Amino acid sequence: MKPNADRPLEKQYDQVRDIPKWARRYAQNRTLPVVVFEGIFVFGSCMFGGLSYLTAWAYVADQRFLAAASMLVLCAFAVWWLWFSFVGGTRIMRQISERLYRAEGSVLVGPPLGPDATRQPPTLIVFVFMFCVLASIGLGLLGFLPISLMQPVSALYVVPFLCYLGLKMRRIGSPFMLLWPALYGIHAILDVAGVPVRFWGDFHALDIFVPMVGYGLIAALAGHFYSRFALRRLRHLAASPDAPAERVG
Amino acid sequence: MTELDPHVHQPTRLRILMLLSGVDSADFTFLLNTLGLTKGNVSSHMARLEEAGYVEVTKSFNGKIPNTSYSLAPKGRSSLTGYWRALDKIRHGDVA
Repeated sequence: MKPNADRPLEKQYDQVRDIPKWARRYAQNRTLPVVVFEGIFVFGSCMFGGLSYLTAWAYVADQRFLAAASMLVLCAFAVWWLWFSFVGGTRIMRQISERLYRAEGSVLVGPPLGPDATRQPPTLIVFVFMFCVLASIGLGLLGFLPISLMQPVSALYVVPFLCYLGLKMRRIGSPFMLLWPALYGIHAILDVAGVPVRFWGDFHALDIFVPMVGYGLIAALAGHFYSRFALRRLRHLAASPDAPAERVG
Repeated sequence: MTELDPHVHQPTRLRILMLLSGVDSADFTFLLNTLGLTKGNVSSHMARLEEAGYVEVTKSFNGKIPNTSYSLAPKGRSSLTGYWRALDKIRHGDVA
C-alpha cells in the first residue's frame, strides 16, 4: 500500500472525508463481546440442563447424596446466574470487551457502558419478553402448545424483541445484529412450511436453543468480520503522512 | 483570500479531528494504531489540539492501567466544518 504522501492531493482530501464514516462503522461492528456473551449463555444453559438432569437421575436411582449435592450446586449456580444477570454481568462484559480490544484501543459511539438508559431496554419490555418466554414454556409443559410449534411460536416474540433492540441501538450497535431476528424468523417460517429444520428424537429444547444461539453467533461474527474490513479501510485512509513508511497501511 | 485554520490544515491533525468527528470518543491507543505514528508524535499533536480547545481529554483507569480518551469539542467541530467549507471554496475556485 502506498503511503498517503504519494497520493494525489485531491484524492487524499476525498479519502480524509471518508474517515468519520469508516471510524463509525468500525466502532459499531466490534461485536466480539456478543460472541463472548453467547458463550456464557451456552455455558449457563449447559450447567442448568446438566445439573437438573443429574439431580433427577440421582433421585430416581436412589443416590440421595449425589442428588442433594447436585441440587446444592444447582442452587449455588442459580444464585451466581442471578448475580451475573442483574449485578455483575455488565461490569464483567465491559472488562472482557476491554481485554479483547486492548491492542486496538478503545473507541465509542454513544455513551460509555454503564447503567444508562440508552443501552438498556426498558424494564417493561424485558418483563413482557420474559412473560412470553415463561408463558410459552408453561403452555408447552401443560400440553396446550405442541412441542413441535415451540420455535415458530417463540419467533412471534423473539423476532420483535430482537428487532426492537437492534433498532433502539442502531446508532451504537452493529446493523449486522439485525440478521439475528431475520434468520430466526426465516427458520420459523421454514419450520411451519414443513422444511426439515428440526432435531429428531427427544431433543426438542434444541429446536429453540440452537437457532437462538446459532443465528446470534452468525450475526455477531458477520459484524466482527466487517469490523476487520472497516479497520483495514480506516487505517488506510487515516494513515498519517508523517508515519514511518513501513507502518503506513 | 480564504484562510484555512492552521490547526486543522496540518495533515495529521486533520486526520485526528476527522477520526474523532466520526465517534463519540477514542483513546490514545486507538489513535496511535490507526494513524501509525509514534507515541511522542501523537502526544504532541493531541497537546496542540487540546491547547486550541479542539478536543476534550478524559483521563481514567482501566483497572490499574491509566487510560486517556479524547472527544471532539464543539469548537473543534465547528472549526472542522469551517475548514471543509473553506477548502471546498478553494477547490472549486470560488475564492473571494
